[in-house]
Amino acid sequence: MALRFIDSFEVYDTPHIYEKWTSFINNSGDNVIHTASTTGVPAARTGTGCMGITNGGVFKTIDNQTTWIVGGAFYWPAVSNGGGVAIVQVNTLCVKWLMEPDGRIQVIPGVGGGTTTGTSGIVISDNSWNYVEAFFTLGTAGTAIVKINGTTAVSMLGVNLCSNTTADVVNFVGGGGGNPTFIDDVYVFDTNANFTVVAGTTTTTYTSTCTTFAGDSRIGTLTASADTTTIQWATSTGTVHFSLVDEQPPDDDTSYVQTTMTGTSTTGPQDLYKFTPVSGTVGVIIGAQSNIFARKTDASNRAITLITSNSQGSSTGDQKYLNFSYIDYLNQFDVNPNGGGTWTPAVLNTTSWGVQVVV
Amino acid sequence: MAQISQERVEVLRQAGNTSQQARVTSEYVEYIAAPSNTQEARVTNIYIEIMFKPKVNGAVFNPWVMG
Repeated sequence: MALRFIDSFEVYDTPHIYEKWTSFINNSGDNVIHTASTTGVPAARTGTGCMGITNGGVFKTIDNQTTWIVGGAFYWPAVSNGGGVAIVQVNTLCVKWLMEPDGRIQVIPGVGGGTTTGTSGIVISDNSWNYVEAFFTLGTAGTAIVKINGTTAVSMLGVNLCSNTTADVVNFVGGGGGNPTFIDDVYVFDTNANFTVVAGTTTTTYTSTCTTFAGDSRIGTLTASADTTTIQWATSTGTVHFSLVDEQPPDDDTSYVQTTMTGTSTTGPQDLYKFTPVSGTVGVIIGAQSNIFARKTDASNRAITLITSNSQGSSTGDQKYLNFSYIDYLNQFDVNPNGGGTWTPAVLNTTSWGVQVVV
Repeated sequence: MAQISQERVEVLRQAGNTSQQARVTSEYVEYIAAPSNTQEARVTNIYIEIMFKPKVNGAVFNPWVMG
């Protein structure tokens, strides 16, 4: 895996934040999905939504990696609000960058790290969107590189960042004192270039290119737009399936598709949908991520998997054992899982996505 | 719960106090149900996010060079 997480902030609303993110701290401030600009709140950088974060901000627990690459668009109504990105091992800070009151970004080592910090020569102004990316390799001979709008602003090589050599949590830190910082179009990479795909009983490993800075990028969304001929789940109402799973934001138990388990893990019921075509402004596609908001309706195990189907083949994701509460179950695709080719608008526009119950 | 209350009553009787009542306000039984395998997998929303570089003046460029 190299592409580990992206968020466009365009589909879910504030009550659903915790279904996609592991945790957020909201002890006095914002942490809200915004879909329109108001006083002190910017319009989304791209698309229709962004997130305002305050204080501890939002956390995504992934898994332990030595190197994390974290990027996103940041908007400071006032740079004195602060905020930034921290890499954390459980609850031990490994390294972070923060916006300082003078508009410069500072890299600060974590627990067990040295006293050397790094400060950007580039100055960021209030009320502007800026794309900030950080490349952190942890350890006592670590690396911290920060780019602002594509330009290297901080470069620390072979420095003591922390005593930990791995970390599992990416934390977008909010503004202090309840004053929000805003984020949009965020991504998280690691540097493991092996991208593994399961197709039936066959596991194939492809090579990912998402192992370094992506540069200023956008995150767009595709929603279900039509049924395919593979429609085997029950509906909450009516006979049309895709329109029950395309709401923005998700409408939880108001409309849905559902099924119990029949057959085997390879023959369980499937529901497969066509999706809206890729926007004509899309040039190069770096990767894709599926989001499935799902739950089980009673005790005992139930699991689903994502299905990706196009002219190059059909593949499944890993098994997602469902919670009783809704969770946004994610799969990332650095490349087309059916054959490993680079995503193109043409391939995406002929790809159907759906779900299969496997347990 | 009722049995414990009776024991308590007996202790109090032996102490010479005979006016107290045993009182039970609620009694219920809990059980562990065997899985019935009728639980549903329910999906309320599915969408795809794509990370991309927009075209520049209508042309596609290589993000790994420009990024």
